Amino acid sequence: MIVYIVQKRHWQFNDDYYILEDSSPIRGFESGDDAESYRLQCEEVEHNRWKKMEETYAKSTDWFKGEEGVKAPFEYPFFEVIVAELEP
Amino acid sequence: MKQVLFVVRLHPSFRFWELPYQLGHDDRSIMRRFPEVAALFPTRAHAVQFSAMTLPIGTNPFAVDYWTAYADDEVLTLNLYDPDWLSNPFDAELRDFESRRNFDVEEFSKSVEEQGFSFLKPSEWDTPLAWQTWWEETTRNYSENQKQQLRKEWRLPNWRPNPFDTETIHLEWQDSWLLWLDNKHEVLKEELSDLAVQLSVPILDLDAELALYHWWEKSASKLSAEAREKLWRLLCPHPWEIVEVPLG
Repeated sequence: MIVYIVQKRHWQFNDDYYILEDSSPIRGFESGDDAESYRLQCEEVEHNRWKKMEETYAKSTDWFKGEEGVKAPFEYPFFEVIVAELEP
Repeated sequence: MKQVLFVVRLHPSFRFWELPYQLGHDDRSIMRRFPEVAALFPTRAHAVQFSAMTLPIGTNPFAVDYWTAYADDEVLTLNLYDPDWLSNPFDAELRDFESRRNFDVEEFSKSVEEQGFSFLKPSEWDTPLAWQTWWEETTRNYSENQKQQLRKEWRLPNWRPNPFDTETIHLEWQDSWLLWLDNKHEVLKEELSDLAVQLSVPILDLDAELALYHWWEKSASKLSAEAREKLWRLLCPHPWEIVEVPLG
């Protein structure tokens, strides 16, 4: 049986760019379409969360803001679907 | 009730390898070069069994996360001078191992005696030979598997047949007796060199930057599965983590 696993990708800013620090499988699906649909839902929620964070930092005078402010790693997905075969 | 599946995957130290930024920002894909899922099981017992029996012999064991390697100008250096990740016995708690590099002997003795084993007298605690002999006697009638199990339970490294080998332990008094088991570098070099001889590969310059990483990349295809397994067992015998995933 093939299982489609949605996993979260954890991005970490290293003072220069974002690195992928870890990933966590969060839910498995028997259907690829269901997995993709769930991934998109998660993506939207996470995207909004980062957007808010970006706005908060833009207004702050925190040193972490840096010269360019904090930019979320929007060019990369926050969630992905990986495929695995369930061992018998 | 939702069904739960069990993902077996490499510890993040082996799955994610941060490329130092000096080497270029665009090459981030190198961090994702290892499979995310090694195997997927319907029960934890199966996942545990797989983890105990399998080693990732297709993966370069010297490609490790940034906290064990550091950028030095334009080369990536495997930090063999502080090879804590190697043969780390604390597979379930890799991230905390720094604080576990020594044993409080009193606590260790309690835990051992609670399990019904006899232990050294306090007057023997500062004698390395007594430790070595104690392990030999305790495990005299044990199979390799039973010894391995005991090592896991007691969080002992397995890079020597006897974890309390007098050449590799030392004891220190700091308000209580501490037993240090971290004197691994020389042992590791010795054992890797031995293995290299057994495998008919050139003796490695183990202190050379990235030598081991490149050596694997060049030589792994020529090594038998058994040889690669041997190397992994020596370096890091428990490289897996198990993650629960609900289905549906």
